[in-house]
Amino acid sequence: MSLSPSTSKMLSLKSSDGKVLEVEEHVAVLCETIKSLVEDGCADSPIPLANVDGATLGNVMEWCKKHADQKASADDLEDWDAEFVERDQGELYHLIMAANYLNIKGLLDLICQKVADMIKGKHPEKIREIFNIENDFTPEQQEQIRKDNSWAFE
Amino acid sequence: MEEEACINHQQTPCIGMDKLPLDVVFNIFSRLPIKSLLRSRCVSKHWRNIIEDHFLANLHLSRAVQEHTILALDHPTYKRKVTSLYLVKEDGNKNLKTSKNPIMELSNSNNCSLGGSCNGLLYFARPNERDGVILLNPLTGQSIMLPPATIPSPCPHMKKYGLGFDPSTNTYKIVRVFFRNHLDWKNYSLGVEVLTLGTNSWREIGEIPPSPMCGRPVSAYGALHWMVDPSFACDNLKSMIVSFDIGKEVFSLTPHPDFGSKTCDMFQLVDFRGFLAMADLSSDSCILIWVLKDYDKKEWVEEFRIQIRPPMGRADNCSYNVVGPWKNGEILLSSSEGYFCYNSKTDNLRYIHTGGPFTDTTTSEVFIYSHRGSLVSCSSFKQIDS
Repeated sequence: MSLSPSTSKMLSLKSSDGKVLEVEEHVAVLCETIKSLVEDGCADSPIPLANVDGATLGNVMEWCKKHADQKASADDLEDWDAEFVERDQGELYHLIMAANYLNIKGLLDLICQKVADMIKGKHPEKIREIFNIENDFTPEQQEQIRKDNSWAFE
Repeated sequence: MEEEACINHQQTPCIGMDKLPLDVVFNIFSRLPIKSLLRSRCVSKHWRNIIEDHFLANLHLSRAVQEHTILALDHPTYKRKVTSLYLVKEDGNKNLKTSKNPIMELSNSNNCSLGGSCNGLLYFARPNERDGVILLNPLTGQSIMLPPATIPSPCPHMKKYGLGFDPSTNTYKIVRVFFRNHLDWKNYSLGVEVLTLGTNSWREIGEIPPSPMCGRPVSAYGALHWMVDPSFACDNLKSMIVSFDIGKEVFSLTPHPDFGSKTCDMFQLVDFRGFLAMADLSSDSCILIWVLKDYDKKEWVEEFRIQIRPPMGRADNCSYNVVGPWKNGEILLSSSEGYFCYNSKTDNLRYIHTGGPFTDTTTSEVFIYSHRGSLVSCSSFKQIDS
């Protein structure tokens, strides 16, 4: 089966909240999960995606559309991706879960890098604040961890 | 509907690491520098458990982002009986400086010598082989003693240890090459013992290297690579590089680029971001660095050609050494004139001033070593007390 852009066949994707999205096949197959369905010939009816809500699916397909565009240069994609990940944590969380479920390595790596950048270089107190994490260490345990690798706290 | 609560903008939306699949969490954490990870151990118990997981250490190793750190080793003097390990950094004024405090200290380490490193682990050999080998991860601060070698050698100072990793079985092994008899330049006999880390005993293998080796080995492509020892090298030796395959436990000669000179002591092996590199230091006018891009095909590529020019080369008969990769794609070089940085993109060569323990004359034994940091834990190789 040819998956080239010239075959502008459309696929219907149905989100968990019942929204149906029409997407070009060569865009949708960036999701490995959908690609396997297409290859197995199971992609005729609207494909139900029980774990992805409509808004997130829209965002995911926007990313896939950009990355399926063969005219986009590497620099162009990099700039576009940097803007794409400028979102609040709620949206990033849903994008991670969707990219993981739909098996889109490029998108998953992109968001994971974004989250890593949110952690990088920050003090533990700041990290707890950003991710709303409760400190379940005693002050003594905390001190011991600092002592173990004091160079990392310099 | 817990997930709904997370996108409800009335509440603070957040990415909970406990809500994400574990492989995604490892994907995120494996992208962080080691310093950030060690510091983040005190965010919460859940975060600490993720960061101390062996799976994360292995994934982190496989990422290209792993930082190349330079360590300064301050060897014991008659006053101090401790080996101190520092991180080396360049400060805002372009001075080469060590971290304020040592990242690790080894007590009773008189005459211990750095054997080499592999995947972020360093090992130190002791002068008395019955004392065993010290294995440590300088960044996490862990260290263990490995069991001592079993076969005595009449010339222990000639022994060579190498630590290597076999990726196909996820196994670390230490190999020891020793002389069975008293030193005789023509009529010598070598022996080889291997210790698989995590097991209790050394075992002798039937294989021996084609020639005695010198210097520290470089660990790359699941093998260890040494320069042959020029004092023993015979004229018909086909190569200057002796390699030991960690998985198969066999020695071989690795062909090297065709150099004008074949004097082994004019060449140096370097760990270049996981690749084996060979520096040709035989010329007065330039330093050449070749990188073994494809180990199976033995394909060497001339990667850097550094013209020796001011600020280098002011002293006569100055010899240079390649320390290793430096930040921003630069290469750090050392010589009796001091330290230099070469940037291949701009062909810029600059002198770096030194500060801290480097200039402290009471500790003259400072030695700097290029090292790829990792989270690999050596405590998993700990022996069950015998």
